[in-house]
Amino acid sequence: MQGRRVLVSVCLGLPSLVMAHAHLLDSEPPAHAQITQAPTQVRLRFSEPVEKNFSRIDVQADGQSIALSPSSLQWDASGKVLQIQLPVLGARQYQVTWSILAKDGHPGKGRLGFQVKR
Amino acid sequence: MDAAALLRALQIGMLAWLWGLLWTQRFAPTLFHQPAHRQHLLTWCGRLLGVVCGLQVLRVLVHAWSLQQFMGGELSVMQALHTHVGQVLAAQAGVLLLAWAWLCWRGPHVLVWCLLLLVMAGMALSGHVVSSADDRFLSVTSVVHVLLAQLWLASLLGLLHAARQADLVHLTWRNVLARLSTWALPGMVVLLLSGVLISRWSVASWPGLLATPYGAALLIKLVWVVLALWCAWRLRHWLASHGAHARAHTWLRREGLAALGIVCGASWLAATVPAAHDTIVWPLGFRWAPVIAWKQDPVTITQVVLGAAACVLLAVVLWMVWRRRHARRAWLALGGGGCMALALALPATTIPAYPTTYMHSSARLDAESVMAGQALYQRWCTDCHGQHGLGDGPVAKQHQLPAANLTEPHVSWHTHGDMFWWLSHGRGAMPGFSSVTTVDERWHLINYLIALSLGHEGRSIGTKPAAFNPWLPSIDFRFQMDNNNFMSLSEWRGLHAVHLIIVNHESELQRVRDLLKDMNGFPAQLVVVTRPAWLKDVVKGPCEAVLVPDADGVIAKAWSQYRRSFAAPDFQNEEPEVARMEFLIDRYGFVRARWRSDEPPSTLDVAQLKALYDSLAVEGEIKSAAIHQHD
Repeated sequence: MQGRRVLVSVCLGLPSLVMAHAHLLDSEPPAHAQITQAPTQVRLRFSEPVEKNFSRIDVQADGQSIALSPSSLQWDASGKVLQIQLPVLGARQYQVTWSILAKDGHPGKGRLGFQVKR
Repeated sequence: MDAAALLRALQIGMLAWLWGLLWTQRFAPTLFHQPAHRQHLLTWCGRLLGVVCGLQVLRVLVHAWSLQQFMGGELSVMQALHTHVGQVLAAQAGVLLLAWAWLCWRGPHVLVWCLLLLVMAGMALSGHVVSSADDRFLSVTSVVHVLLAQLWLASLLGLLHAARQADLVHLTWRNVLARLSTWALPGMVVLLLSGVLISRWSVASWPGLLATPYGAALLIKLVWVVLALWCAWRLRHWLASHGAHARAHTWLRREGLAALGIVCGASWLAATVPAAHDTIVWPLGFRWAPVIAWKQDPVTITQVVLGAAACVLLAVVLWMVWRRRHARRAWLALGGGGCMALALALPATTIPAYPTTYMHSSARLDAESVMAGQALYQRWCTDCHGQHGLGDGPVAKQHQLPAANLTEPHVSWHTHGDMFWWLSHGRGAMPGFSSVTTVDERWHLINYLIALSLGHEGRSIGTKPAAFNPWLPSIDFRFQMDNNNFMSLSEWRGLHAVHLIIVNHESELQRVRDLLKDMNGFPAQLVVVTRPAWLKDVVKGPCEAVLVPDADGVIAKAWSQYRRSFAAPDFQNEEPEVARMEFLIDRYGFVRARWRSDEPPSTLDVAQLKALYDSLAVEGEIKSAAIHQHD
């Protein structure tokens, strides 16, 4: 009886934790970058392999989404580096929002900004 | 509560119970000598397998539901099966259904427990270790660990079930337990060793173990492991001492309970961010750092350590003298001496710590960050710490404030998180700057302080690399390639060495041209940083070097922190910029040698450089405490 009580209390003690297990290591353009030449692609490098079909990248300029071709989304062999081609960008502030699903089944999301200057 | 973790724990428990019943029936048939017992066993196996299959379907649905939540409701169950975890869960469901069909058709056949074994091994393929697929050894270790743990649980639960159902003879019980104990001992050793390896990978550091949810879960699991081992030891003691049957049953039940606790702990761990990837919030006001404490006050620490050693020595002597006639007194003396030594040594070998002590920087040690930090330093820090970080600022002098000399090596003794805390909340007479700077700005400032301090320490870097002693991290920088894509210096880390040349005077371009003439078989990547206008004069057409235009001079200015030598320490920053600097960067990103155009030998020819790079190539991977903390 005592053993059952302990077992139940252990099970109830399981916390509710579903957090990102893959995190962004690096990006191109880098976060907060101020660049003079408009980048032709966004490249994100994650700490762990990511599910290719369950990842999204959205690039916004002043709150408006820029149309990106889904077919231009590419992965390297390790599944850790994602890159997407950009259209010709003007001199503005840009916000990149990404959401990914790590290979171990845990989701994650984040954002980074950069500025193209003339 | 995390439904996926709970379902996983329940399923592991049920699966182990089922496998244990089949195993016990096969290897301890004497426990089921009556037909009624065997019939009862078959009924139980069928029921359990049904529950396990049901739990598996639930796990697939929970996975699909959580993905649907994440993707904003645009996902069907079938699409969820396209993920790695979804495929593992589906494969497990298929194998379970096959096992169920076989059990109904042929009874507890050997194929059923082989199929269940496959499902158990699959448990490892949907955990964190999937992320380390590149590391085959770790993947195999994880599968072995999970499988052994479940087999151990299975044998315990199987025996417990048999003991409850069957009318056991004392001798039969003892024989079965003795056989289990013989097999369990080497299995437990492998289980513990593989557990240590996996934990080392997922925790990565002691602070991660002590100050993250993952570390807490791991420690709780460890408590259950210790309890289980204690019960197992008591069982072995019973086997040796011919105790009563009921006593063994009690210890076996307790061991089974501890094993279930371990399963719950493991499921909790599977749903928690590994400590290696989590932000560490240090809960204590101190941390153990004997080397730094010794560097700060070597005399006191030496006295304290000698005092502690004397305590231990005295305790050991007393224990040896008393151990035969007064055993109790001897052990008390040993324990007391140990406690006294710890009480003496621990406070002296600790240094203050803060919640951010082990926090990772959000800014890499790169040229832009260092220069941004320098601008912030000029704005906020020069009044006290002085224009060049020597602690001789006008305000500090006027009010006789003890401003630290930031060019001294003590800067690198502290963690970046310690400095972040001081910059945010102040320290002593220094105010906090959290209200006037952003988080990123404070990290930039820290990067500048680190580069400044390392630059002064870097005076010892000569023209010959010291073998097996990497400690000076390279300052990263980014540049745009011809195709407009970005690249950074750090991308060569782990691949090959880099020979970096920073040219600040046009006359030194000839050195680059000379090197480029004979680059055949050069074992390092040549990277040339100079003004954009001069790059066209370096070489016409494509070449083997990477030419980096440094329009604002940011890279050259940041790397000029590493220009200092014993001949030209330049404490007051009065020296004109060095016309050319060359740096030998090993394949792990550490600066190992430096040449200045104004100090002999200012150049080495290609053959001499090749010999130097070849001498570093034989070093192999070096684990250094100064590994790039910003990565």
